[in-house]
Amino acid sequence: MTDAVGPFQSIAELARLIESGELSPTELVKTHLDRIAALDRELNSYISVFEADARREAANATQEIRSGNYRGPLHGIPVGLKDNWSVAGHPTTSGSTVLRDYVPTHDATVVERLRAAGAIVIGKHNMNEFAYTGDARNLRFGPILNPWNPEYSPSGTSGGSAAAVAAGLCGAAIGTDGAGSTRRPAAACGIVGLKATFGRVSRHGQYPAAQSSVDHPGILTRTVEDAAIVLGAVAGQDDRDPASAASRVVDYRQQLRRDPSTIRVGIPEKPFGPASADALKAVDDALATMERLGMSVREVSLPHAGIELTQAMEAPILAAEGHATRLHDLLRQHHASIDDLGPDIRTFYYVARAMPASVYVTAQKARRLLIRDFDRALRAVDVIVTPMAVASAQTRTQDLMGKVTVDGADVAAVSGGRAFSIPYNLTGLPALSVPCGFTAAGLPIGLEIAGRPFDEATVLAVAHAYEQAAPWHTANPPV
Amino acid sequence: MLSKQLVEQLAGCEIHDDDLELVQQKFEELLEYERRLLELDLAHEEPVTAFSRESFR
Repeated sequence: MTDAVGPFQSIAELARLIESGELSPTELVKTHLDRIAALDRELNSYISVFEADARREAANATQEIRSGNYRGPLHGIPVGLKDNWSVAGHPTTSGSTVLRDYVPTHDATVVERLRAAGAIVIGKHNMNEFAYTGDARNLRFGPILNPWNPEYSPSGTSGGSAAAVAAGLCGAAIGTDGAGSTRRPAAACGIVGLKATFGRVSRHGQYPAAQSSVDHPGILTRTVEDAAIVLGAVAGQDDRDPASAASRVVDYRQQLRRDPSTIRVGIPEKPFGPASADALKAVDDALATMERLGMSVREVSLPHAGIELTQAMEAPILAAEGHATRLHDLLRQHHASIDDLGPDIRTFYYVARAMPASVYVTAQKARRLLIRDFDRALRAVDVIVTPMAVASAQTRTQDLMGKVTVDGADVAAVSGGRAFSIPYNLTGLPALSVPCGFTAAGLPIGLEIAGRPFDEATVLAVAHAYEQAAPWHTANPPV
Repeated sequence: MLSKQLVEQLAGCEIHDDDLELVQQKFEELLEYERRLLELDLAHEEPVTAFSRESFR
């Protein structure tokens, strides 16, 4: 194996070595498995590791490549999955005791597509129960640590996936994003998190089934180019997901390079919510970088995108579409009782069952105003840029207490922590977080870039141009 | 105020006494969210239909 191989190399870099024969999938998978064994007892990012399967698949990939059948940049790359994606023959817990005996018999569509591209599924990542709360704690499997500082949380339900990618325990991960749960942990762990347009990536095989109109698959990688590679593999219509869209999939990697002078960047006239001084400074610096690259920056009006309204839309939608019926079905299907659910989840269930229908319908009517705001704004600009999170990673104690602190002031986690992520779950627009700096305490900060429906290519191109000019992603956590 | 009896009837199971206060608080939050949204001019808006792709874009 070449000495150049390190745990923090991008998929694009590893793929070059694999294609040239300097590195074999067998060696690469061994490196990752050894690293998981050495580090994950503390980090706790994995619920299960597929050691035997991964070694066997890696040996097959090595043989295939030596025979001249190289499939592309994911061939031989170890990927992880949030533990709410189905892999045939392996338990899928969704972080809950309710699913203690559940073993799916089929692969999720994203898993099928990753395997077809040659990727090797190395294991499944820790998450909070059913991805229902906005943090990264789990009563059954224990808390996930942020690789930048073990006192801090990875800050979101795909926190295990973000921590694993950031710590070099897999090349990429697939998470989910119902209110920012891919993008916010990506920001907190200093990596890239992409939520594609609603319908762009199939949700078939997510378990419990994604039934809510704000639920999206998410992609977590170390670079924007890697996100383009993974999106290219998993995107596309799937008849098994009723929400799947027929929109054309392009070669996202090829479209990463654009003339920056053709890009119009929008910033909201009024912030979506509070943000820390560190985050605001980092975003100002990022916008200055974009202008230096030749992009134009202007304000756009989004009058219904403030957290006081978006939270009022999102909470009833999640309650009605997700919590009210899905939990009921799960308890029945798995012969479980309400006592098998954690206290937060029990509360969601009771409240959702009692919520009047008018609350849900009013939220869905107000959602129209938000969709119209963004539609109008994105006629004037190509992308909209904001901080990704109100603040960087929160301590694990804050996580347990459901608190988010912005410059010393507590902001309720539910209302404040998701101000910048929720608008894109409600509108279904593509949105990505890319590293844009560090706090004074040395924790990563994310920049959010969002675009038009099904125009992930422009979002990725803007993020790539920024990332190349401001390479924050090259800093690695001290693990 | 949402009663314990009504929650149990709607949920189809018993509610833990420890959970009741938080359930009532969250329920009030949802009603407050609706009041907030009803201050907007929604008279001519059609609700987004959850699973219709077309209605959402």
